[in-house]
Amino acid sequence: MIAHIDYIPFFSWPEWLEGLIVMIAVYLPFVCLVAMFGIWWERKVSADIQSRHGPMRTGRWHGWAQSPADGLKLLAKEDLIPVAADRPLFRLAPYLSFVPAFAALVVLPFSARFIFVDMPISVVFLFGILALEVLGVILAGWASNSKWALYGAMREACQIVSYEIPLGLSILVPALAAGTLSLAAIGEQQGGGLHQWLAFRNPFLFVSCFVFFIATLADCKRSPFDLPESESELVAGYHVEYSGMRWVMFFFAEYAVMYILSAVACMLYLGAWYDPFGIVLWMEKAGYVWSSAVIGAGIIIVKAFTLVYVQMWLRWTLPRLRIDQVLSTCVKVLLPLACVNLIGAALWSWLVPAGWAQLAVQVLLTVIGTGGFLFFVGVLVRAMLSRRQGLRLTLLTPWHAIPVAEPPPGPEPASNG
Amino acid sequence: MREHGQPITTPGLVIPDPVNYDIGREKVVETDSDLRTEEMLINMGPQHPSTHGVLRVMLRTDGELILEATPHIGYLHRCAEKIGENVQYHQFVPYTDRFDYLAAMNNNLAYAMAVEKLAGIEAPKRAQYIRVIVAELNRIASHLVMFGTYGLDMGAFTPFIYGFRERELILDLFEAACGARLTYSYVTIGGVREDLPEGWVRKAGEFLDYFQPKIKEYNDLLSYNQIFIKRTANVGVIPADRAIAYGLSGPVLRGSGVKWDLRKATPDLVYDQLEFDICVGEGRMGQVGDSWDRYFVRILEMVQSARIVRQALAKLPSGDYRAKVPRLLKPPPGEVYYETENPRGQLGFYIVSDGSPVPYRLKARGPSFCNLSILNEVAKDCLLGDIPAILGSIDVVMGEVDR
Amino acid sequence: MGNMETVLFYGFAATALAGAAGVLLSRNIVRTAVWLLATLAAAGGFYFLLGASFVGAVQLIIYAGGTLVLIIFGVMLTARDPRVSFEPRRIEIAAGALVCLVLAGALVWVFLGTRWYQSPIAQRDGQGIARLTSAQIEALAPGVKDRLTDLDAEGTANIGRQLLSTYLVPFEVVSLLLLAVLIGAAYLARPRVPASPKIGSGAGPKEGRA
Repeated sequence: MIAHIDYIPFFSWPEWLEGLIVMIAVYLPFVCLVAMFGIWWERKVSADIQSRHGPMRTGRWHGWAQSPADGLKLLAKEDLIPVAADRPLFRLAPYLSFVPAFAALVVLPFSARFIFVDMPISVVFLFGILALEVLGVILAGWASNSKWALYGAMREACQIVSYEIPLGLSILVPALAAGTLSLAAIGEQQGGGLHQWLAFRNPFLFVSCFVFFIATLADCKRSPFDLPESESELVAGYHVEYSGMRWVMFFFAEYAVMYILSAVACMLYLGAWYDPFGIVLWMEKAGYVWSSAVIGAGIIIVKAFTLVYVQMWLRWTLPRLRIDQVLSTCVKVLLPLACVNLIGAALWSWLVPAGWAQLAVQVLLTVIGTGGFLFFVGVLVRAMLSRRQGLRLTLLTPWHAIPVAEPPPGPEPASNG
Repeated sequence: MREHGQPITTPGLVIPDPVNYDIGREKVVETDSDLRTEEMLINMGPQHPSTHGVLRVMLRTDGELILEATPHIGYLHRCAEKIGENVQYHQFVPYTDRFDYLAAMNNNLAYAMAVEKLAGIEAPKRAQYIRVIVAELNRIASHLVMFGTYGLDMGAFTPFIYGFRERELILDLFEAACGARLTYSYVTIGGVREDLPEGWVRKAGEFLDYFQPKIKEYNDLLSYNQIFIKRTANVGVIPADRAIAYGLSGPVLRGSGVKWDLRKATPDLVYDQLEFDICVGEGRMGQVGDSWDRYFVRILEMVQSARIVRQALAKLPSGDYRAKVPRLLKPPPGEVYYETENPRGQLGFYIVSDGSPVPYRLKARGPSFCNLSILNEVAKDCLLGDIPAILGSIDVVMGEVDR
Repeated sequence: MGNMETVLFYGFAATALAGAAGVLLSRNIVRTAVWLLATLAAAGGFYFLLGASFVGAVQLIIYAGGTLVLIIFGVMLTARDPRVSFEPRRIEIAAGALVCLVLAGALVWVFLGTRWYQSPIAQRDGQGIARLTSAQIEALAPGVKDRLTDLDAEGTANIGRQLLSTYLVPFEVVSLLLLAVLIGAAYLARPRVPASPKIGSGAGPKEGRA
């Protein structure tokens, strides 16, 4: 079943049942695990940035059991629905938010063999499914019957709908360069080394990678675009009235979408499930089907979580933009950039022949990209090392270690200090 | 016989609904465009993460544009001034702690110096130096809170932790000196309550060494961050003449370019023997007097305060830490108004004495109270997202506003 | 009940009908928008069932993710009372019923009189229709290729080609219409310049900010 599948509806009962079982037994736990791991990791990353430790106690090792413990607590919480809220809509909204995130996993390839549904237009399908997220947020804001929640919902809807344009255009650019709308097919073209990654194919794709990443930040409502959940202004915005498991749905949806969009970014730009050295491609060609698939799945999960880490890093560093600044960034900066990228990539693939010129550009962009990446890794490592050192040096001398001045001989005890 | 649950009413008495009295005043905004929009009344607070305490701001908005912002205060009123008419002079010192609870040393200092002026007491030199040291350290601590919470209002979560990490060290110093971390009652009439413990000077010096490179870290993290600048530059501009007209003081006034600092204008403690600069806003990122200027004046003031403390630590003489003040202090009849430069502005005490151990009238001029008055004028034509920026840059502490 | 296609078809049909009924019968204007979501999503499901995945995905993007959001915006921002109910007059009910009957009659007449195209491959091979290339179609059903219109060829690329060749004029007309909509929206949303620059902001009109 986990193979190339074309159209599900035309299958017979047993195959459909098998598909349902796979969805429930594989993808639902995967979503939950991704979300729980994401929440735990966010707390650890934020603590690290803030010179703290984060969860350390629940579960002996670094509080790994914090997420399940939180889940248990939230399960036991009272199910509060505001009196004047619209009850059916209030109940519907979290699921409208969570189900698209879950359904988008269906078309997400984990490696050449691990694709649940390989649609020929999986990129567009993904985009369409994620566009349904907006509705959950709007309904949540409306159904809470609170001015603040409604404000948050309206802002969020504006933001997501506006940023869908640069997002969609930046999805189209690698689809254009790869010549196909299928995520799996786009991924398959990026094997064989770092220079094959689509982000390094031409300068327009390189810039488009960043545009895509910024648009995903806005789509996931992450800082610096986290106005909808701006805790200090709107007190959690559109999900202020939600508690317990309903709130968990929103939270899970957020982390699941973070992972999905990061995975899509890896699939489209950053080499899908291939490593930078071409080993996985060699393994696939040499016939190690299952092991290459498993290693590929591991690689793409690691890559996606690296991008998730960058998203978290940005959240805990940058302040947030005001709504008009958010929208003006989208319309005045990202949208023209995305359009220029699209036109440029189209012209490039038309005019530049595949040959040594293309290869030279690819290698050059690879060098630039890798150099930037290593620079950031170096900054990170240096910051970690110096911070640990700094903390050790700056602990002030403890009181008992300060030598007490000998009282001078004389009739009067000397004054202190 | 009044039934249980029936409200008590006096016939003929009209009690306006204190919560909702603005409702009904909404007007339809007639514009020349084809869309007629209605104003919206939004209530921010009293429980709100970015109103810095129990402040209620009633906003009349047209969409995101603010038309009117009315602060409603009094949620933290504790009748401190009335209490001042019933307790003795020494007993009122802990009440002054609770005005601007983030800068308790400075509050104590203002009150103590006012009473000393009234009673004709002169604090010894060591006491004055210690007062300057703790007042300036508390200024650093207070500005660190402003730095952290302003970042938090803007959505940057990390500066808060960094600021409080440094503040913990200051609070440790204060705890060693007087036993408390927030409400010290350390600076009392005649001097300070107890002398500094051994090793305190050395630890304070170590703290200053540790703190020196942190300012650059804060600037890198928040002050020069483009997003922060976009949120705060050109937002809430207060021209210098309006600032003076409204009676603003402290970093709010200096952020508008007015070079006025009581520590230089009327040097009373040992400030005239210490070298430091007055920090004013220069409109570096936008206009003079915008929120970024007010924020950055506080960052610069932290540097200057560190400078002052270093000099004071070096010059700290030995001697008495407190003048001989009678337990039952009966100042001669008269009145005094004395102001000092608090981290938030000029805190003034007006004390009228009639010769008895208890003040006849004790009035405190809270700087945050006067600073908050400009909110309505500043908030016009701002967006809703600018209100936290403006409020955070004015940096009110409700304990001082309400007393 | 040979395969899931039938079950899913009836499921989507029931959802679409329930959604439409909900739009008609719901008293709360925001809830009508949500019922509309059900109908639009079911329509998307139909497209997927027919194998037109691209159109189905676009249905989700444009209708459910765009148009419906716009409708909900309009409903939420202009409804004074969220629970306003419609009370139509009797003459309006009569006129509406007449129009509906005429329309329903016309649709049923057209529906019954059409010869629905059914793909010969689907007729032949009810079990699992893969995405076939032209060569495979030729091999399976010889002679049918010339009868195949745009409907059976490879989906998305074909749509793109048709849009830019056969259906170019409607495509350009639609883009002109969208341009008119953009200009109208920009005109309606233009900022209103206040009389004099106030103290609050450094620059007077709103566009001086950010």
